[in-house]
Amino acid sequence: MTERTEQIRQAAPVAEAPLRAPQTVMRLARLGAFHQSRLSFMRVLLRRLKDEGWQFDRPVFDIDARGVGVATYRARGPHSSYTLVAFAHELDDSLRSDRVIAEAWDATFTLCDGDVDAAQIERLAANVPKQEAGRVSGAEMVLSRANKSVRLFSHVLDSLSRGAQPDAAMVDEVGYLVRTTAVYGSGKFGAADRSGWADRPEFAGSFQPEMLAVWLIRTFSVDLVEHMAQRAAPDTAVRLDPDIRRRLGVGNSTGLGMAPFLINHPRLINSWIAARETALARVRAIETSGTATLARFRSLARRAGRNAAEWQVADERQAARIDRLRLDFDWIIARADMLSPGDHKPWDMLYRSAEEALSLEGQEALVSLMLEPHGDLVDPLAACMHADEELAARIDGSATIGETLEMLDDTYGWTEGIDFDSAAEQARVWYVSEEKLEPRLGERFEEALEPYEQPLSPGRDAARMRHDLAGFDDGDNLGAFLLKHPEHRHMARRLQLVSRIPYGEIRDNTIAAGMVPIDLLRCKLSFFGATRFDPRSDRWLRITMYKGAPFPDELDGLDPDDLFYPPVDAPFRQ
Amino acid sequence: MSWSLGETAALALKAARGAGLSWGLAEEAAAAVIWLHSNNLPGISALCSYLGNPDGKPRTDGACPILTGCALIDGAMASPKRAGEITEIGPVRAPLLLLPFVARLEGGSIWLLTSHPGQRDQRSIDASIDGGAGDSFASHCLSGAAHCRLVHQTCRQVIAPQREVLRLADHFACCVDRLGTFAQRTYAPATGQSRLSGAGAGLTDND
Repeated sequence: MTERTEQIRQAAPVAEAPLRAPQTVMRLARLGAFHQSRLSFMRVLLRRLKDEGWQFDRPVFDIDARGVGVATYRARGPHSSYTLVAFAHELDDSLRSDRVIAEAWDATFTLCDGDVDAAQIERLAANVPKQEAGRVSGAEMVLSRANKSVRLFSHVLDSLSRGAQPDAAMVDEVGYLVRTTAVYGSGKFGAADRSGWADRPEFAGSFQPEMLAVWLIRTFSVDLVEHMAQRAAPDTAVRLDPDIRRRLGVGNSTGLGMAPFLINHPRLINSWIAARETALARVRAIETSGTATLARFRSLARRAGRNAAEWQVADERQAARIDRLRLDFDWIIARADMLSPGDHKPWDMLYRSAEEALSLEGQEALVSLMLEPHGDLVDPLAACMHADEELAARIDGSATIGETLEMLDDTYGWTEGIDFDSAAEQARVWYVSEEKLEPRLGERFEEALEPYEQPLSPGRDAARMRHDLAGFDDGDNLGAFLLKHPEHRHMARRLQLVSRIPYGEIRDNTIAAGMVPIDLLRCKLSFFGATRFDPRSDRWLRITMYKGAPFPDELDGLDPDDLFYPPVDAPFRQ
Repeated sequence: MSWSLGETAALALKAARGAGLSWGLAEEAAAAVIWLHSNNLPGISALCSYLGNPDGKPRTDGACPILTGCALIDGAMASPKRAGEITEIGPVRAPLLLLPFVARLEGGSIWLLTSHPGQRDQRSIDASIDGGAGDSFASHCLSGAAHCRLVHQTCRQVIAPQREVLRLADHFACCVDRLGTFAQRTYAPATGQSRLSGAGAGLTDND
């Protein structure tokens, strides 16, 4: 539990069932089956923007008929304003790569702190299009870029130019006009450090500036295609119908760069999972639920079931899981219909039977769904979903070797059955390539990569430390051990940290031959609020963000939380 | 040009690792650099001085400030426990890097004092340090080793600046470049196999 979660629990006690055990939750197979929920960061952002009455405008839109130029999007809240500066480029098809090694993009972006003037735009124009090779300053918070879905962008442009709406099925199938290929924040490439803005109320939680940038990028993508249609055919061009427009999200291609994040931020991950688990425990503790709540749940179950029915992927592993998920939704919908206001602890009953009946995909979809009708219990927990990771938290060197071995048994007992000397259990190496510092995963016994290995295998490192600790007396101090074995310092620090927090460590071998990296990616992306997970290999995937969500000009009149599941009565792919 | 503390920490971590420190010690080095800059002291210059010339031989004229600092905060090396007590540490390279560790002992009341016997051109740490007074230790004063001793005092040695330091200024460019050379050693050379299989993705995405 995080300190913050604990504070909130004590300040406003709410009945809770026991939390799910870390050894149940913190497995890659389950984390890789997580779905978006009320606690996802893009939903937290839109709730706040709506509740606080944020205003949005577009101070600059200087884009030519080819779609090249600059535009700015400003968000003004009660305390501060932020501006997305978007640069639109012409890109040769041969250069359109979603990988980190790309050096040019269809559009590049930065989210600035406050308003921007011409001089700032000029400075940014010399840097932002270069992305990692350029520099931003402390006045900027996020650096990002996107490529078009050439297929859908062309189709929408042609349709609007002719005065027609695009084919809804194609809009649903692709889901976005542009997809981001990186969204950098928190001090990267010269941007403002998180510590400089973390205490602003509008950014309480995690990744809020990044979520704001992506939401505004979505608006830019639609403005760009409408503008180009208007310039191409001023007499016939029309704008997108609002209902079709809302079906467009922002795509995202995510590779291995995101995987180490979960391992490198144990306190943060603990805060996210603890909030979600606490939310589940609160809902499971509800004694009885009224007719309106149950009706809402039944409706959302059908909408989420429709979502699963329309979820198409080429990846065989995920396709099989989705097939099973569809059957799981038949079960969920049937059970939802059986719930009645007279049931005692209906949600606990439902969850416990789901543990027996459903796949991990189904169980986690149900967890997200059970949180939906209970915003009053769930939403306040979003404020706990942050943590400051210390680069070098102080190690208690006075701990004895005996105490340290005990702590290893408690926290890393799950490694005991793993033979880290076998080739299969240490088959992989996490490393960073000198090619634009792209994070990669290699084969330890096929490539000469070991000297470049990143410290992303806590299970193996715990086993190695245990082996060397055996050469010391139980009464010796850890400090003396580390003086002789500085190679275990990273693991000793991690051990003392994660032994104090329940959900900080993934309890699987992250360098095993059978490890599936996209499970790590999906866990993080579900907390962002991503949908339509579409694995493209075992180590990268595409997702959609904000599909169905309101645009800035309609946030006043729509409930963003109601739009993350598709309506049952209209064709819609989430 | 200026640098965020976040990217400075990442650079210092990789540079220390690239220079051969274990990951755990590299984390301590990076945290020490950031602590120094937060107190308006030139941490990145101190790390540069400690790591030395990327093409040169490792220096052996004093103990490692990171390892020494870790031994102190871990309790594996004794430090003074009562006012007036002194502990001799001996020669330590780039001793400014030891300061962040000493500042964590006994609530900050242990002072690090250094001296350079026979080296008049070397600047010593010989008094309290006012972080609010600006960059009080020029980079050129940080090279080499110094004899270090710890003294238990009744107040803190380092006075933190009132205004939070959030950026590294342009005059650290040279140190950033040099640390970049060390950091480079943590990156695997580009190979065709790595390029094609390492990220599990193709090279173009026209869809």
